[in-house]
Amino acid sequence: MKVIGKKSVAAGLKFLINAAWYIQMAAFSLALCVLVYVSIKSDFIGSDIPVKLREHQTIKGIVSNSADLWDAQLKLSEGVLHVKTKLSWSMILLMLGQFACIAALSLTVTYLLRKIFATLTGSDGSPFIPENAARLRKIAILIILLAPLKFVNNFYNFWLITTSFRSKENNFTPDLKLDFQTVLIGLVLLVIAEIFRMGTQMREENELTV
Amino acid sequence: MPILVNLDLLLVKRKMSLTELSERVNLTMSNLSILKQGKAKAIRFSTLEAICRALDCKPGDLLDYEPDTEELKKVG
Repeated sequence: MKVIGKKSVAAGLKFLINAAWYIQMAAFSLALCVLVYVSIKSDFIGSDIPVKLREHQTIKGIVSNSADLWDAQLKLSEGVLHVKTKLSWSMILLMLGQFACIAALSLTVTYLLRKIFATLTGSDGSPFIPENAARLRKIAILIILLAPLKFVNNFYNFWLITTSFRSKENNFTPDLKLDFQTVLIGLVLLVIAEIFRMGTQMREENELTV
Repeated sequence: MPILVNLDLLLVKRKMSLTELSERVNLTMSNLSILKQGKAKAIRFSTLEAICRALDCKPGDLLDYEPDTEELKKVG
């Protein structure tokens, strides 16, 4: 099986990444429109917050002591707490900020991947160029940045639940997930990027050895 | 790089063209150009031996060392 070059695995992946690029652009544009529409038209927004469920799977009621929350429903099968939160300007800004960060990160990673895969299927077919090493490094840093972004969201949900809800039977607790996996993947990619950079240096030296 | 390659000087002294040297040492013109222009990062002993044999010279005639003034300033 041919991995790099024309009609190879890399060529197939290149097609998928190019498709993902356009799908992402369309999806983010649509999501932005929906977000803006909801912000203007609606007074509340619904969201699912992951929670840890205790042994007792029955719940008599959830009491909220926050005026910002309209409704809450514990979905036992999915392990999430569905809440309807009153939309305020600070919340809209928070959502837009988070959306902008996620969109920018995702689009940049896909853009960099497109550039890398373009060098894998070209006529010279040589990926060992300094630009690719720099691109891999940028992807690694962006993936590492994704983890704190997720954590901010989880922390906000944690704060929302701990300050606004108490269950009568106390059978759920907020799930403050720390995304170590993403950081780990980012760090591994950072090391691979460094190996790649050394590889490009070795290639350059080899080419300039007479 | 503080290592200088005096290939062009030796070629003039021996009245030899780069093409002729390329044929004698069995090296491509592009590789010899890299060496002549001082762009080379390394030279194999086998290449050095072939060039010295073809030009009837010592490695010291081909290569020279001139300390980098900026590097010397950094060292102090």
